[in-house]
Amino acid sequence: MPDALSLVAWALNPDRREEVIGDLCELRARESVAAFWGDVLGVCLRAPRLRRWAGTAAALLLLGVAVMARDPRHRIVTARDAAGAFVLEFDGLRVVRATLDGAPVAAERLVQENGRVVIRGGAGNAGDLNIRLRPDGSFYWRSRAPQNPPTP
Amino acid sequence: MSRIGAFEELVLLAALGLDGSGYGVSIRDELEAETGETISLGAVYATLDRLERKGLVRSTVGSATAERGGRRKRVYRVSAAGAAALRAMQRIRSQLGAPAPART
Repeated sequence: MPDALSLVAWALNPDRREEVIGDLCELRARESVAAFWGDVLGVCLRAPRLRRWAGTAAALLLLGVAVMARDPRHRIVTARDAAGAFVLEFDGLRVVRATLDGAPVAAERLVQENGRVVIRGGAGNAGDLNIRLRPDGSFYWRSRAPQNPPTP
Repeated sequence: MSRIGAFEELVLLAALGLDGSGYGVSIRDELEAETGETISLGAVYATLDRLERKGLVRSTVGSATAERGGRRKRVYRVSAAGAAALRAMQRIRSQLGAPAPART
């Protein structure tokens, strides 16, 4: 009989039900919550390695929650390269405002698509500032060339 | 004689070691202690169910305990056919593990 059918047969049998619920009661008193629910799933699906998978899934879920907790929706990050300092204001993974060398960047100079942000060089600036965003909220960029001091 | 798989053999050995007092949780505990691996209770049930259908173990309803909320256990005992299947597996293993006869 396939396992799914035998599980149904067990669920309909009062003796078997008593056995399974009794065993799970015993485990609940001594196992962690994750291990216990892993066992409940394992009993329902009768999968040999489900406990391990359930543990991995729970760990990944916790990791995801931890990353989300570390990545608040709104944050302001200041960075510096050879050309000077810039400030990015994030809303989640989107840059909503930027300041370049102390001056606010106009919205039309802030181009954003597919995890990439470009701050178009303004008047007197050497070039664009290209920034790559990672899904975890961190970012990296190609350092700009140092700006030449104005010649007299 | 019934063929048994590797996990079935382990479950039979654990039930044999528990000498007729083994039930789902205690058999799982025994297997985890001896193999050092995490074993799903569902896998133990499924295997015990299969072994019982093959006639290699027999189960009876045992006693209730407070830690089980007054519910009774189902205890498993290895049958004569189960013991024979284990002996057959041991014989096969020892034959396979024996050095090959020297060729002249």
